[in-house]
Amino acid sequence: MLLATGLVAQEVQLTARSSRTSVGLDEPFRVTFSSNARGGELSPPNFEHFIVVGGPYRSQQTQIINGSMSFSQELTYQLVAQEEGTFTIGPATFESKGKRFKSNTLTIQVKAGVKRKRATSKAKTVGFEVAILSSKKEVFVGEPVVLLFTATLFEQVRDLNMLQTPNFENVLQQQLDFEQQSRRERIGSKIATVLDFDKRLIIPNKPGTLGGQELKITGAVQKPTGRRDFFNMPLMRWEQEVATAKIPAVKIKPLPAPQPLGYSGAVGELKLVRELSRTSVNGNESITLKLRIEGSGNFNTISVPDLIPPQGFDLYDPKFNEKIRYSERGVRGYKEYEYLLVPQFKGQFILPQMQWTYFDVKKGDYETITLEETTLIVTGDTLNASAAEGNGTMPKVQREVTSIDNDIRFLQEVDENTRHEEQPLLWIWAILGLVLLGWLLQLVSFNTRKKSPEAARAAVKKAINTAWKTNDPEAVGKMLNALEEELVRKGIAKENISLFALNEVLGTALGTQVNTLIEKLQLALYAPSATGSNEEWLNEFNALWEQL
Amino acid sequence: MGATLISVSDSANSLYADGQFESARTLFESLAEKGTSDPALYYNIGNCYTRLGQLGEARLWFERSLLFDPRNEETLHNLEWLNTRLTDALPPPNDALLHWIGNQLRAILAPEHWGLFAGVLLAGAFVLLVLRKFKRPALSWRLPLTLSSIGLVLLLAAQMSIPQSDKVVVVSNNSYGYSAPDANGKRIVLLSEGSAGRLVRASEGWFYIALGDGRQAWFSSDHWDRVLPITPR
Repeated sequence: MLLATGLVAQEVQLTARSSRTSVGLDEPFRVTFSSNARGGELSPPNFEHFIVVGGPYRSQQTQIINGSMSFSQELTYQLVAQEEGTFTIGPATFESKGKRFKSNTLTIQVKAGVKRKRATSKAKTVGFEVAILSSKKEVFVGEPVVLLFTATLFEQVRDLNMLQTPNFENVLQQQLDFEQQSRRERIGSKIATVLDFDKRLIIPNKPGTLGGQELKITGAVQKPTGRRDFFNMPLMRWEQEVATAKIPAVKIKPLPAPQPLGYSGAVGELKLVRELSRTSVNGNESITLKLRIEGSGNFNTISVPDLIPPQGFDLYDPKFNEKIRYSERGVRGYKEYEYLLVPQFKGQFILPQMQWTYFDVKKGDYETITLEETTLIVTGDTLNASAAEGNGTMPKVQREVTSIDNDIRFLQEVDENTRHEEQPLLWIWAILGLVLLGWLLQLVSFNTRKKSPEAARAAVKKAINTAWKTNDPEAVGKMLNALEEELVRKGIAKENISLFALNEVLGTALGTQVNTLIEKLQLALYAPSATGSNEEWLNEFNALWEQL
Repeated sequence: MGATLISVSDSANSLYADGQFESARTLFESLAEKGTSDPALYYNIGNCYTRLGQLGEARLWFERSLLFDPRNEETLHNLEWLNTRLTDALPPPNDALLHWIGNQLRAILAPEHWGLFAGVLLAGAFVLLVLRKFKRPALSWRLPLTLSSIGLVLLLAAQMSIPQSDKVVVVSNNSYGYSAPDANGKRIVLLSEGSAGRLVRASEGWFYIALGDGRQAWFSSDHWDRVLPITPR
């Protein structure tokens, strides 16, 4: 027994003590807080790293020794360590008359070895055991497993409590409706009571091994003290014990790869059902379509596939129905969408084929369910009639039907000689080619004149002769321009044309003749009435043109 | 030849008037097979299909008729009437700009008329150019240039107004669209009769079609038909 020195504040004394300073995992021990003050409120610390398996037990004691009276009150807890290591239990507090007092702290060393030591002698000392039994050792992701929690009681046990629930990792967990059952069984040389106290359904959603924290159960076990009473009956006492159950080794297998196209994760033994209230309707009736997944499987993650809607119907938001029951046989039930199809037009419409894939755990393979096409027949004349009423329930496009004639136009007169040619514009492109050729010729002619001065001179002479013979009024001007242009080419600028310059460049004889002709032409140009043109001028021009 | 054709047309009209739409359709389509390409003939075939309840085929032939005669009021009426019965059919994507311009031009004049005007002007320009070259060198170049330019524009208009279409129409009850040209591929869309799209490319019994809602998918060519070229079934 450890007695730690407490905090002393005037006459108030508050102490904390522990039954052990070194304990094993799951080994209960007691912590007691005592105060010598009356009244007030004694508050325990936060027992971090420990679980309270018993208490609080309160006691008070008043003593009068030699006329001197003393008082003490105690608060006791029974604790169990959760993990190995050295931990400190914080101070308790005592409040009285507005004053606050604190106790000392306690240091507790927790060792696993102590537990192992106990394990070797379990058969003799352990009052009860707990275990988690699994319905399957291997499952696929999404396949349900049932876990049964059992306690085997070797001694009289009372106040069984679950200290720590097993938090399974990466699973959906559901507690099943279950009545606790007990039975007597022979285990080794002992007759024990086996108590099934909990049953759970888990659906793993990741491959690997089932994991999580252990299950811990506490209970008070009746044990002999080794003493006997007045009637020679053995005296018994109740000792608190903790039992731990490991998570069962369940292998969670991944679904086979590759997964089929469109697979959405459904696992189990399932069916996809499409129910139609009718396949033939009048215009003022509707069809109820139920699309349902039913059977046994991982309904927590299954979703009903979207309906591929038929043409010619209005489809309203579906109603969702669900009934799921968790049992030892897994998760059974159905999920369902209920659609209302309202016909819009008369005729036959196809409800398209649908496919849905799930993983069949019995076959260990993917199964694809195909719902075949169904023909829906809409009859009756009520569709148009109800549209004409304009009650707002029909789509806008259908109201427009009333705005045009109710029938198509009659036949047209056919001109049977009409033919569309394969290349209707070929001849026009040919003409375009000719036009381009014409322009090309114009261009070639221009270039030829530029490249051959003799040809250009001949062309000018020819043009002047033509103009002269056709009595072109501009013939004189053209002849004068031709001469001046020719003289410019010889190096005599237009403004410098004079007898002197002509004689100097062309020689006296030729220069004089050219000068004379130019003067005549200028006179004829500026005073046409004074001089008339005649053939001699043309002859002179032709003669001079050759000499120039 | 002409007399025979006229009697076929009249016979088809009579059959249609008597309610024998299937026989009338057969006769009208025989005319189309022989090369008659009057938009009125396409319109009549569309009418027969409408009466027979094959609205996808009807749409196809009305579209063909409108391609050659875009402003025909009776065809427009019948197509509108058809659209009110094909509310679940997917409309085609909008026309490409050049096709739209072609339609507008065709609504003004037939391609051969555009071509006729262009041909006259170009021929005039050619004559003037020849004259200028060989007879009248003094002739101004401005007139042939003007005629050539206008003629060229009219020729382009004629060329653009020639009916062209990459439109395709669902002629069966339904047509599944796949992600690949393979019936075992993933189904991504289901189109009803009369839906239309634009043919992007064709491959061994499969059409890759652009739809009006922006999606593209592979469809079995058995369920579709092109507006052009015209192929009677």
